[in-house]
Amino acid sequence: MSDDMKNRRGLDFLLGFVCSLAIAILCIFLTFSASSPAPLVIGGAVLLTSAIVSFVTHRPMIGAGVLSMLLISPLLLIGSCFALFSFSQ
Amino acid sequence: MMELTHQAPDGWGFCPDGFPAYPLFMLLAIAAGAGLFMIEIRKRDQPSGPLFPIALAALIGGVIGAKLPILLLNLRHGVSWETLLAGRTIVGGLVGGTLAVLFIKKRLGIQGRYGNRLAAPIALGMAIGRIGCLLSGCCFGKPTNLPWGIDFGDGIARHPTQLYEMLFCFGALTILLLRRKTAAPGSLLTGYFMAYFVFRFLEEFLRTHPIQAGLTTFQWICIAGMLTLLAKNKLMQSKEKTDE
Repeated sequence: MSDDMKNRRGLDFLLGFVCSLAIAILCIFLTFSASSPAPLVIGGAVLLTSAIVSFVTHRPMIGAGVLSMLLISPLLLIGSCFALFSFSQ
Repeated sequence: MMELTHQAPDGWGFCPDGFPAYPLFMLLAIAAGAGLFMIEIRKRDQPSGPLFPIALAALIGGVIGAKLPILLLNLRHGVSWETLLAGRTIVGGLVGGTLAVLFIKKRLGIQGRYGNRLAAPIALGMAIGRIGCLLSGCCFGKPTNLPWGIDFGDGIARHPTQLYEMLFCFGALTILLLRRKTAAPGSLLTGYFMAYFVFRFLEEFLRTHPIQAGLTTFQWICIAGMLTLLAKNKLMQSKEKTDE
């Protein structure tokens, strides 16, 4: 890992985390507005794809931020996530 | 009967039925806080490498700390899926996150201090989170006759403790943003946490949590948090003296 990459690891992680969280919020809002699980599914796919792309393009910390959001946010909001899931069924 | 912290009385109709105000605002709070922190860090011309383990530790420690007190609180009723899934507390999240960051900094030998940059984002996140609490009708206070009491749907006017806390957090945010350039390293975060623990300790007298050994569980956590901060400060002071 180059020095430049090492130096921007923290910012890349935050960038991935914040941007993916913004997408997740939008998807949850759209899911409830449209009463359809499609935005959640599409949003999830977009986030996973962006994580893969970040690893391929040698910015792995962006992907780590995206994956952290995908793992940690549902853990924190796990009860609400079950409600979301049951709603979207 | 379980004592869940996020339980609205029946009939609270501020949001459309089924609208997920609480999770949306909770996520918005995390996003706003992390976003502001990112902006703060970008302004500094320093490598952000050590931030990665710190941010990850804060997130994991915060999540564990937010869930653990709810589990302990409900242990005497037996652990059910409802308990495991539903509750979380910001006080526990703060304590858990702080302990995790202290641990990872010690373990990896990270010297940089990010406290002054972290304080305002945390205050912003907490303020936004409380808007979600108000909209979803949870975290309310005891019944009151005061003119600003809110009926959360059960016909009883209660202390809008979510609003009290939101005002506290926005007030703290203003002070933190004004003082971030002049304050001693790390002092803003310690000061904000200390102020919040004192505020929350007092606010708990207006909340409806069950009393255990004279105080609510959250008041005990606040005391533990304050003692931890005092011990950390003492340790830092003695370390600075030794270095001199």
